[in-house]
Amino acid sequence: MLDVEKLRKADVFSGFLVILLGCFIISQALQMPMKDSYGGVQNVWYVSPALFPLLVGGTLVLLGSLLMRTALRTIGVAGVKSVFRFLAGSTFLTFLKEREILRFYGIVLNLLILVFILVPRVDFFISATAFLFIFFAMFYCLDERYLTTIISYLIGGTIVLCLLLFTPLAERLAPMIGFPADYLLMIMLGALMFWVRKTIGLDPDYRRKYYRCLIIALAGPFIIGVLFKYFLLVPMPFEGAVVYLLDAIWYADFWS
Amino acid sequence: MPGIEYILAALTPFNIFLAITGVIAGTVIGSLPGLTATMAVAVLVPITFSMEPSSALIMMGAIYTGAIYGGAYAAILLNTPGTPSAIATTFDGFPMAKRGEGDLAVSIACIASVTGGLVGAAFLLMLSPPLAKVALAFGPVEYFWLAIFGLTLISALSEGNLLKGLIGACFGLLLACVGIAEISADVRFTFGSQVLLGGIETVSALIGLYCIPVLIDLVATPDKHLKVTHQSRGFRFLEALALSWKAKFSLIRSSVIGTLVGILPGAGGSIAGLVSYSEARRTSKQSENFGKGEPEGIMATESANNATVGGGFIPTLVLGIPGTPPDAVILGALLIQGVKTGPSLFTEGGSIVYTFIYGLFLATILMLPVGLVIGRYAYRTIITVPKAMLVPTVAFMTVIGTYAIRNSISDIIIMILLGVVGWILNRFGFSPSPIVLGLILGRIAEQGFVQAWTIGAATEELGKMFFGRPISLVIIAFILISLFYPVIRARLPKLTLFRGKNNE
Repeated sequence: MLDVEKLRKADVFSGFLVILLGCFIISQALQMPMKDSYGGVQNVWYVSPALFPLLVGGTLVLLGSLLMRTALRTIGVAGVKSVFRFLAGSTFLTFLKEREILRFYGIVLNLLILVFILVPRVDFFISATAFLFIFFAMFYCLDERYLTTIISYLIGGTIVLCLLLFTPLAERLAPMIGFPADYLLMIMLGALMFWVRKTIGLDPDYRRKYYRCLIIALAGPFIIGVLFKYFLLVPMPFEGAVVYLLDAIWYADFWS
Repeated sequence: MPGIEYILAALTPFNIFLAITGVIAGTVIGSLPGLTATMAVAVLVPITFSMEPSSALIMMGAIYTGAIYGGAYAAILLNTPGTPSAIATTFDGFPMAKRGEGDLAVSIACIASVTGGLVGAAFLLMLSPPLAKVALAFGPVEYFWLAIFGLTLISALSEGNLLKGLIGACFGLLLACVGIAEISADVRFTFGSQVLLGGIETVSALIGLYCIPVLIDLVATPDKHLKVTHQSRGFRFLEALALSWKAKFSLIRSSVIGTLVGILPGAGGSIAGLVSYSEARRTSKQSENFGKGEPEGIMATESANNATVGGGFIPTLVLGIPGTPPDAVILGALLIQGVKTGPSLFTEGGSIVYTFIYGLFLATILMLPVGLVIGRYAYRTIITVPKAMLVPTVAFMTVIGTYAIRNSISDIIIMILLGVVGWILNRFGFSPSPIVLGLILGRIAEQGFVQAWTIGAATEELGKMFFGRPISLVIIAFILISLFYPVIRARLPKLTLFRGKNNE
């Protein structure tokens, strides 16, 4: 959480956003039906679905105004001006490049790529391994100075994968090689693993960390995935090359 | 009085296995600094979906109780509370560890946690059935006011910022409005999305709001190297038992405080621990030793925070209003299983409730050997797990867990988006608990409000409907007290000072 003075300055904007949200809810609620009729006769039992949202929206406007008022009384107009100066000046840009913010970008980017691109389109086991290994590489296997390089690799790799996934290329390749996106991700992940190993060099501490990460990145999804798929009977979000292989093993009739 | 059949149902080999597994898993997760009891329950809850409701409840209760206790390890040995509930444990636990009595402190914490847990469970067993009978008299308008009371109470308790707590609660109410309206079945706030038609799935929202901000925070700051310097000297169980017996009245009083705080919606173990710690210090003969390694300080905190488990289940099961944040997750999981909590659960689903309550007793008793053994042998290994390895593994489990709820990728998206929004809101001083409670109570509040409005409009006594019923008036009085409590509390020192000056 921010310190108290910064928090009060932020409260002016939070309060304003809350008022806007409240107004938006009210405007949406006003578009909902207020009355209902049946065969030309007004239904007196009808309760508008807008009633509760109107109550919530109105309360938000009131609370947002109170929050703004309290914050303004604490920091004054000078405080608001200093916030605008901060937003318009170069300090804000420096803030956006701070190490802590960079770490935040790394985490959120990795999570968003996993959820929006990998999980719905690439084999779950490969997606999860990629997610875990990239995370480990960012924050554990390597020194912090490599964070920007890994984030760049992550963005570049995602663009290449998207070019395959969102163009007719994947459909054309599918009859020939089954799951092209799965194989492409495996190649890119393999390249990253190789690069991380090469960067580590002979440092025994980092080598130990690397192998530990590799084991968890591969074994973690495998154990949890198998538990969910074959024991709790939860189908994987996308079943590709690895699930195909696991199904073949799991359902193989060894006795015939 | 519930019969022996429920005790036997709780003592099946499978339930005992679940209780042991739950306590171990909860203790391990709770002992990791940064990971909360809510997160322990949220991450492991999908495993229970395929179980019988009573078994699932036993496992979730065991995870919860284990996680609350697990927080004491890091508080005692590292001066870092493993869970927020163990904040007050650091006050005396760490000084004890520094003078070489860490083992004794861990054993005291374990005995106190078990005592608190048992007292909480006993209250749950004794208070819930009569309260359920009272709750049967509640009509829609009482449920509406009760939901509002829950929201105002949690707002008043949300880190001293009532306004932000109330805004958070309203945001939660708004999230509850998404999808098909409760009574009229009109579609609202879906913006043409098919995915949002069914509303926001409660458990995935809870996982997002409670887990993702914590995970982001853990990695956003560089990994601190945690190292236990204290040398282990054994369980020292008998010594701890003798000390606990000496402070038995304090132990029971703290457990009762913990239970009562647990009953209040949203007030969890951290508040219970702090309240009972200050009460123990106030009444103790060794009050000057508090903060310097006084065993009674650990007992007060640990018994109170574990008593909130049983206490929190009382409003959860009787009214469907979660007492503590982990209860909110458990409530969501029960809804997925088709179990509707509320007063009728005690008459229609007696076997589920009573089997669970006895299961909670079982899990709490099992915590004694499990907690002592983990504290003695496994803690050093657990603490060496780096955050950077722990976080992605937990994040991955939240993703697969959320997906397992309805086999829906949309739920994962909602979970992640709410998680990121929750992290941003947290930075600006908005706590997730009012949002979560708003989401859960939103449906109860709207249903009650609309039904009461319909009845009031039909009888042309709208005002009397909302403000003329005795139970409603009592709840409204509580709402006003909770709303104005921060103002009264802020003015109280001034009044005391004024009175003091007058006396002079």
